[in-house]
Amino acid sequence: MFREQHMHGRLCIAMFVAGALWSGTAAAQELRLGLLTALSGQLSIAGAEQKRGFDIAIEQLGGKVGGVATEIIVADDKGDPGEAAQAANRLIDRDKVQIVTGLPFSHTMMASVRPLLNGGAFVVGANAGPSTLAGEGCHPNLFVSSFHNDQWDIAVGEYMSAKGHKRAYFMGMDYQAGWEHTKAAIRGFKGEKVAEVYTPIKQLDFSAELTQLRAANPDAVFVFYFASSAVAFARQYAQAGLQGRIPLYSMGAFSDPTLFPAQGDSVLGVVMSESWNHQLDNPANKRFVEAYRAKFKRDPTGFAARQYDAMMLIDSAVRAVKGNLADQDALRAAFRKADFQSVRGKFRFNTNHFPIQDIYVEEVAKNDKGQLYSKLIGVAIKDQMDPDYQKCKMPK
Amino acid sequence: MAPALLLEQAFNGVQFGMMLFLLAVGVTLIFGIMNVINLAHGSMFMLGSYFLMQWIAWTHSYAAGVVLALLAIGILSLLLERTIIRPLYRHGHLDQVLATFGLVLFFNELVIVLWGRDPLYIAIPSFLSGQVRLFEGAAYPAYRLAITAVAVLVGVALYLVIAKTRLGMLIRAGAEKRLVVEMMGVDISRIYMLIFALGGVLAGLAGMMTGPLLAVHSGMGEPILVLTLVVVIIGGIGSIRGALIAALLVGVLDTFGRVLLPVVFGTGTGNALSNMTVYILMAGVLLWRPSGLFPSHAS
Repeated sequence: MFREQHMHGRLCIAMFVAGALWSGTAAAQELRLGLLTALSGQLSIAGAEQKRGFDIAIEQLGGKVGGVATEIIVADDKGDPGEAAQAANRLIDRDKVQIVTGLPFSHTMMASVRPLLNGGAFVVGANAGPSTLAGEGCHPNLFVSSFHNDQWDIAVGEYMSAKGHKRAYFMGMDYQAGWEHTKAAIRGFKGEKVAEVYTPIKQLDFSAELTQLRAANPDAVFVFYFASSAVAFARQYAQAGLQGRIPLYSMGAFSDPTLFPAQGDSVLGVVMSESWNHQLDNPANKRFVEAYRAKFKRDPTGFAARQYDAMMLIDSAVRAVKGNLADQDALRAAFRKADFQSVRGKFRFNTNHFPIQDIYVEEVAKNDKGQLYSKLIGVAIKDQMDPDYQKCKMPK
Repeated sequence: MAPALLLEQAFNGVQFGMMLFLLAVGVTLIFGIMNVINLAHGSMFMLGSYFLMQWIAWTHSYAAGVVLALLAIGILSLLLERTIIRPLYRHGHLDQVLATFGLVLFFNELVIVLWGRDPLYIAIPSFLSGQVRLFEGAAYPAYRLAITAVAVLVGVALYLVIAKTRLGMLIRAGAEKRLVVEMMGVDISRIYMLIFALGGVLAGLAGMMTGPLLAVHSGMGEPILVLTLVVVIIGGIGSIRGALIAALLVGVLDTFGRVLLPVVFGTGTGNALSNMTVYILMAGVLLWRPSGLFPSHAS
């Protein structure tokens, strides 16, 4: 009887080891991919757009990212840093993801990125680009394929100078990202800063600030607002008689196809900087825009485009290591190569895993059907590097 | 600051104050007379915007939209009073807070279910979308002038009703001595229903007028509800006169605080201080007059 138990025990152990080996091998050929984004809450428009870009990519890849069976785990951070940290921990502990993407906003990204990286996952940020993560906070397994938070603003500030504006008024949202974006625009602008005004995140009535602005009579105005504040600001700017009188500049989040219906004609003529535009003429972008239009019956936003790009980047990296995700060094090298067709045309990573890319300028105009669209009007900066890459001390 | 700029900012402050007044009247009456704390007041504000937007979309007329939206809010308020608020009269304030907070959450989700997450758009009627040259150097948006005028008219109408009609007399009596009014055989539940509906309609009206300025979205009533409660506390619970004075005070102080404090104290401190101005005022008033500026003598 003792012998039987022994045999029984050894058989169990053998089966267990065999099972572990087998599932271990199978795991190397399966990708567990997490999408961590804001699907509810005040800022959920961006999350919803990221999901749309994600879905288009998954469809085009036939459900197999990198040619490997993919399990997708979608996590909602509700646009709140506390929730984001919890969701990140669940992705690592419960879902055992190997790669995470999404991460639309700086405050939730800062909360979730550490747990994810400490848990051994690769993180591919598809939108927010906080300056800390580009500098001292950089990490070998973190890749931000979208932009550095300052890039677009520096570009538009320089563009405003290039356009001959000498005195500019700057306004933004009163929080971390708002300060970063607005101060970056001020850095890019070479003329006189007439004022630097920050308004509370929830404030939607800008009557007092617009009165001050009009009294100061600047040559141009730069603002950092998005979602509901961008709707409210654009409408009130027009109602105050400033539309067309004082040129309004911003960055790509101020207006896009999700906000056109609410902003209406009040947003005509606004000039924004963006690292992508739906009119960019390359095969990858054409495929993406056509697929998006067919599925969602309107033009895509930058959020969707950047998530789509992040997915194609992930696809190229997983394909390069032939699904062997356990080999982190090889995976990292594949990510660094960024050997994929970006909707932005050319794309490459800097040493800190942030992009080197062209920053475009677009203006809101009407097409011949009378509909609003973001018209590509030029390039602000070519091959722009972010301002923090030299602070990143990453092992090669 | 140039006198023209000062005056224009004063206009902004008054406009903001009048919107707060419309909301505060409802809260102060409902709390003062019915002794009910209604947190869902902000939801009436939000629904006023959504209803207006929807009626305009169906009827293609701003005027028809306003009338129908007011009707819809009135009916909704009556329904709410009947079903949810009435059982709460004999319950404590905590139960009322919980129940009406539940309503807030419910309505926030409901509008997302019905209209989606994207912020929405109400067109200003074209004859109001220009600017009015108030005085030298100030081109004030015509629409803001119009809604201030409407709010003032509503205030005057309210005054006439409260001061000159029988219903108004009952309301004033109810604010001062509710029990006595009941014992005199007045159907107090009818009065309550009317007051609740009135409060809801006023909040909805404020929402309808403010909607075209802002973006119509879920939860748009919460920030303004907080300020409304502050106004009611400063003005004194149950007092319409108090609501008016306090609302104007808060409106003007908030507006000037936002523009002057960052100039005086720099962006960081100035912004923080400007967020606190109204609450500092409230604390100051409460220290001086613990029941508010014009307390009614109820309860």
